[in-house]
Amino acid sequence: MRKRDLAIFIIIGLIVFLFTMAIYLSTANKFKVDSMEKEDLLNKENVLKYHFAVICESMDEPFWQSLRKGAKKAGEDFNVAVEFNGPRTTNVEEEIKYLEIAIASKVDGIITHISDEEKMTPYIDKAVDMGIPVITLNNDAQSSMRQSYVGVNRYNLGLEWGKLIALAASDKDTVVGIIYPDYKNFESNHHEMILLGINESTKSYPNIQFKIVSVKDSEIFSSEEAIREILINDDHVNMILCMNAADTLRAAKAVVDLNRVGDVTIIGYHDNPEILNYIKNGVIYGTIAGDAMGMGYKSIEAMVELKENKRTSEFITSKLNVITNDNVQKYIVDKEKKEYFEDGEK
Amino acid sequence: MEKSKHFPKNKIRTRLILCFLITTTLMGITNIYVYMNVNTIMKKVDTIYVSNINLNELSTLLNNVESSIEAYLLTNSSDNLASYFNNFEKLKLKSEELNSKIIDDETALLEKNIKSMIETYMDVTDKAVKEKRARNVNRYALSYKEAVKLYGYINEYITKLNNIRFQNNTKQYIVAASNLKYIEFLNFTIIILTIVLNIILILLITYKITKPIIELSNAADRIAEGNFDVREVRVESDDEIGVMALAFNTMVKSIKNYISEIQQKAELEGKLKEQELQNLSMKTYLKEAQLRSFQSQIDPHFLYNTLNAGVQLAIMEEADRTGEFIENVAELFRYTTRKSGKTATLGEEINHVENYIYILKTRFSSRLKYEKEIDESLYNLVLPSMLLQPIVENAFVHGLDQLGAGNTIKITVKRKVDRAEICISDNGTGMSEEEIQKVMNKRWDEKAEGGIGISNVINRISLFYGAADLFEIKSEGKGKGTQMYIYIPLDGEGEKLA
Repeated sequence: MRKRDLAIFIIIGLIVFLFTMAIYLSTANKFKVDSMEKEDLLNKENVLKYHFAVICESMDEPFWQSLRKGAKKAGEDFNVAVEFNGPRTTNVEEEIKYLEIAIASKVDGIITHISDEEKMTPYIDKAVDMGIPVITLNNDAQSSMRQSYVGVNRYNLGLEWGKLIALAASDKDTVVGIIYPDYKNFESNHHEMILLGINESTKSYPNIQFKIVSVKDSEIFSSEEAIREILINDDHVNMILCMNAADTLRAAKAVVDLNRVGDVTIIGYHDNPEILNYIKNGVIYGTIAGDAMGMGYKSIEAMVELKENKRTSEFITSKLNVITNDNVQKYIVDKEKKEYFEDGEK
Repeated sequence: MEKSKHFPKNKIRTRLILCFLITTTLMGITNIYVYMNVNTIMKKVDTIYVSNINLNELSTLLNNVESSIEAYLLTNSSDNLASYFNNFEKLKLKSEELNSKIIDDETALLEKNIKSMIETYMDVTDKAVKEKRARNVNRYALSYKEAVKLYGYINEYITKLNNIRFQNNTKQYIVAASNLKYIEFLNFTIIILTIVLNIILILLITYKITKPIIELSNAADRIAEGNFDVREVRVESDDEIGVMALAFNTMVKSIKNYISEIQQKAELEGKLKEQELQNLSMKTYLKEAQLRSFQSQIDPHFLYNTLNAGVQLAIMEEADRTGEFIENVAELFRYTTRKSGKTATLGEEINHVENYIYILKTRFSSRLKYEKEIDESLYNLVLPSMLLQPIVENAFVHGLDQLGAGNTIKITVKRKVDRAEICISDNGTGMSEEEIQKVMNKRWDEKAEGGIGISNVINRISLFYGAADLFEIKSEGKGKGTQMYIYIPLDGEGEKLA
């Protein structure tokens, strides 16, 4: 009997021992796997076809973040690597730096925003000379050798804004303060195109007047100052048109802060969640949203076409969405669906 | 058990070796395992920051190229040019290690960019050197400027990559460190577990081996103290100790059996002796009965009364000597009847002998000489009756030449150390050694030749005193007389009764 007990004990002991060993082994192996994954990624032959550099205006801006998502999606679809670079806030020198780096890095294609056509043209030309195709994004550099442009048609944008202003103003006498980015050499002709469009669509409304508030500096605070100044000092202005997402948000915040909701109508640009929320609350009357994701996607698509067919259409426009309180709910749902779908695929 | 059949011999040794082997191997395996694991993890940890180190090396090389080209462009010395080329080659070699594949991973792309930028940079520096050699001042200054700018970009990217790598590596390091802690704990647990297992194993096996030994030694101790009532040692192990225990048990059993056998034998012998003794006394009683019946065959009273009447008659006829004679004869008979089967004092015995000798003297005139030499203190010594007269009668009948003059019978009683020595000696024919032996050996002979006979005397003495050597016959040969000795023990009842 004792002998069997001993045997049983030894067997149990050995089993416990082996069991612990097994746990131990698996843990150790898990750790090994953990640290190996990185190397695996580098060793894996998931080599992509091309390496494109996208240079944006401002990494922090929701517009560009959406665009980035679109570009990433296209990168996955077309099997290319998309490197996304750009200054945190608008800065021409930095944009140029990234352009130079992209050239020196000998990427397969450059998609860049143009903050200063004059300054950036030589680099674009240099890249094209070196055989790197260049597509401009959202802002064009028509004088350069860039192969294609992907962005919003400014005139159309102006037309849409004009329509929205007319809708918001209805019969009332309205003075529209246009927060006008008028930095030195900064996409000036584009904004002129916008103003042209606005004028075109509001010319039959005599009750609408415009007051252009130039923002001379690309600093964050300069536009905010301008907005607050106009809200505080100019009693006539009862509508504000902002031409980019950041300004739209600033204006909305200022109106809320100064307790002038309902008194001042805000018409803005872009469709980031905060803006959509303001539209829902009625702080912002409506916005025009360029399809950022679509632009991102289309730019990559165009670049791939350029690489493979050596040519693509020179001017690729993205569609414009008009968002007001009436359709904001539907728009949010649609957008969420789309983004969820695309995020999910990543 | 089945297993044990494979190890028919040296089981304890095998068992001990197995025990030690198991524990040692267990401990060994654990140690090796723990060591190997810690080792691999430490190696892993060591390699975590290798990518950072590599990047730093790259940065240093780049810096060397930059400073050497700057020095060359400034001084135009061939030494600096050589060092530039040297550094250039090194940088080229080092940059070869960088990733050049297009992979959808931030660090991989950064690496690719850095590699391409270094290539561009080196092209530019090469160009600058060529232009310097061509003494094209404007151009090389321009190229150099571009190179410096590129140098800045590359450094920026290296820093960026380094930071990302560092963050990733640090994350890895944290994971590794926590894993290390976990594994440390596991190692500790495993070692403790192994130790506990080993201890229990050793204790169990040791107890199992030593328990029967201790039992055996205890039993052996008890046996050594003379206690054979030990319980059988129960050992269930099938090893040498089992064999020993079996042998021990058998030994104890045999010893027990042996002892009881000896005891039985002793008992049996005792019984035998007792029986023998009984037989002996039976014979004695028979003899006594014989004697008594013999004594009673003659009516002593009749003889005595008749003789007394003879004495009266002789006195009346004034025949004094006849009267005296008859009175002596009567006295002889009276003593015989009265004392037969009883004890008498030595004095009474001597008196009886003298009566007998008087009668003999009267019969055979006075040719018979009688002498006595008696220690008077022994007169009251108690002895069986009718002891001396038969000897005297024997001496007279066989020993003396009846016609010879100077025949003497002498009775000597002496006190020896622990016994009285009664000697009845004659100076007659004597006895040969053969005859003496014959008389002595015929002691149990039933056919006594008339009278009471020597053998009867011998038997009675030895029966009365329970000793065999109380009677002795000495003779120096034919014609030299015979001495018959009776030894009466003095320290016995005899003297006390007196």
